[in-house]
Amino acid sequence: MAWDVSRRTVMSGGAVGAAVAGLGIGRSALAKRPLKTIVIEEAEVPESRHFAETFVNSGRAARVIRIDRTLNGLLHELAIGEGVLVGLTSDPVAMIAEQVLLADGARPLLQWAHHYRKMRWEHRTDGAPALLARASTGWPIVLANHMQDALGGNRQAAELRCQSGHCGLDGKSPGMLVSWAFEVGVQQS
Amino acid sequence: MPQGVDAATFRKALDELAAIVGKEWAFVDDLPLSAYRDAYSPLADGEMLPSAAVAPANMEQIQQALKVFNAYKLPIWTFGNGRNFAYGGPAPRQSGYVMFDLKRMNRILEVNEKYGYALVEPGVSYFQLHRHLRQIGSKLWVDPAAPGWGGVMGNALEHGAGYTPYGDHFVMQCGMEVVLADGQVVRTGQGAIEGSQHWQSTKHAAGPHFDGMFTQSNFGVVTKMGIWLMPEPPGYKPFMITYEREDDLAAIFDAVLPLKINQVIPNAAVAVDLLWEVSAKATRRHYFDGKGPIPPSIRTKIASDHGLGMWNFYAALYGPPPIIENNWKLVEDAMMSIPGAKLHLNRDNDPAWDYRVRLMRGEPNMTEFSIMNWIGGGGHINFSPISAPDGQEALSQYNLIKQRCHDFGFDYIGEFLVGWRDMHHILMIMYDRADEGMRKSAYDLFGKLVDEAAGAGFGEYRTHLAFMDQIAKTYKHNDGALWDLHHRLKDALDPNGILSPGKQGIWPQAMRAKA
Repeated sequence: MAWDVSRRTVMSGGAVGAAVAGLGIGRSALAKRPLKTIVIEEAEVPESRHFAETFVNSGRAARVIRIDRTLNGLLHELAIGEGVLVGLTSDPVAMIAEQVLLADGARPLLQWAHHYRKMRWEHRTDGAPALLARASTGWPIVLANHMQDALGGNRQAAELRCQSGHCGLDGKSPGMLVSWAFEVGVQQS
Repeated sequence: MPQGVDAATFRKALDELAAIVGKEWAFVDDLPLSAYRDAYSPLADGEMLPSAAVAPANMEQIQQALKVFNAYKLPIWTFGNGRNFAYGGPAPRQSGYVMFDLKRMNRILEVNEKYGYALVEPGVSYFQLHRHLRQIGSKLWVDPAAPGWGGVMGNALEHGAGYTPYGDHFVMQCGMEVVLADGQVVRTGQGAIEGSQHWQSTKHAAGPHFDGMFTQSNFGVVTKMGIWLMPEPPGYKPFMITYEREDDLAAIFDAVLPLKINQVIPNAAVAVDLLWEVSAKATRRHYFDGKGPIPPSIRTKIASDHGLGMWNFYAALYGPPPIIENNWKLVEDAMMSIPGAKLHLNRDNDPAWDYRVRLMRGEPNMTEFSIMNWIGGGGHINFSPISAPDGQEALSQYNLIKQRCHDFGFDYIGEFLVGWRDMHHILMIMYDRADEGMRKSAYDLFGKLVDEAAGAGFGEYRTHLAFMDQIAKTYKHNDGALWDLHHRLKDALDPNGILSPGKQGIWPQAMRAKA
């Protein structure tokens, strides 16, 4: 097997830790053929709902899996056969999904971090800093569009950081979120 | 690479292991091995990483693999599910170990409705057993840890706890099958009688009890374990009582002790502090974005906003309704006598109430992970001193530990859980894994708490990998005689020192000097 994710990178911490290091996307694998995209929506988190809604509205989501606050669905509903699982979720949900998916042989494609502090959102992504910085509270919509581009192969390699302008935090938002994508069920070579 | 093993030898050993378990179940590449890391480690990145992983399917493969490990003197790290991330998850004690991953062995071998037990393999999770019981129409409950993706066997072997009356999992364990380092298979208790039908019904047999020796240890590989299951009761009454003042902790436990010892409250009663309780439904940044512990005025606002106390006491009554109502009078008289106590028999749209009510009736769930949103960044380690359930003792522990948390810039986030005659104090030190300074402070705080608690006569009942040696050294009666006994057993049963070296501070002779 020839994985194009280095051990140092993958093992660099929890969900956000991995996001900080950045994960190399398997561009060649994804470019070969389109895979169905399934969105994980954390129902209690407003940003997660906006992100999922954007994927659905764009026609790119084959299905949405809604995770309620028991989080039990993460253990029972991620077995999708073949495709790409994406989500913008709280850090614990990203961690649980990562554990479950890695154990099932899934391949991490990207992990980005979104952290609210001192009245601003700070984004650590690959690409789209200007768009995200300008988006303020609408950033999950921008992020969903940017992630679709990145998964389609249009992606910068370098990690970028940006901050939004002053904005409030929704009372239901955890304020520290992770956006992520895994490729599932595709034979690695 | 395992220490002292060259690459060519290691490759040869892995080839032999792959021939035993199947090539697809021997892992050496980065990506599959990344599933074996401690996602919330309090250590710097790059520590406690495995060299390879091997996943046997049955006892015979375990025996054959042990021959290879012995022949090449490869250190292995055995686990069933590896989901307890407050204590290290599946990660090995040292980098270079080979993971001996038993989660393929996930059969529920027997459910006995009449006597109320199950016989399980190492990879069976609480969710799996719960689903199985419902599918076969059983009226038996599991007693899940929170969260419920953990292993039934692993949690009992680690002395874990749940929240029904069967919450002391090692007490509810009955009968083991163990493969020793040399491959010999031993069944404990009545399991040693050929054809016995009572292996999971009674712990007693002629001769010493060995089951405990295979818990929190590295003396063998447990391959089957019996666990007693609680029959569904005809009635269930969960409740929460909130208390206004931090100092109420002493009165709470003085009131609880007779109710627990006399089995009026049969389950693991728990007093949860304000921040642990609120963290399932709010985050710190919604209230306070500064450094250091949350000021008292903000704590008061949090309590008011969410209808919580500084302590929030959960328990439940079980049984026929007339008995529940009779016992309820005793509970109410004792627990509601503390000034300011408020009783809750239901709470709308409260995820913390919801998940605790589920846990106390044996329904596994994952909700407790939501509390990691309090800080964000996911890091947490649990400091877990154990003592008697005395009010003043609980309060003095709380004050000592809270002060140290504040000294290091952390909030106190904890709970006290009362079992049969014991009190588990769980302090959750939460930190953002991406904040190196915070992670280091969490590590330093933990180390200081271990020493200070030991100085005050408190020991921990389990711990994260990184603190196993330090905690082992606090058990120092008669010049460390207890760990000396552990080491003598280790050397006799596992002379090559292959089984989980360093687990709980028990090292094989060859590695002892370095440790």
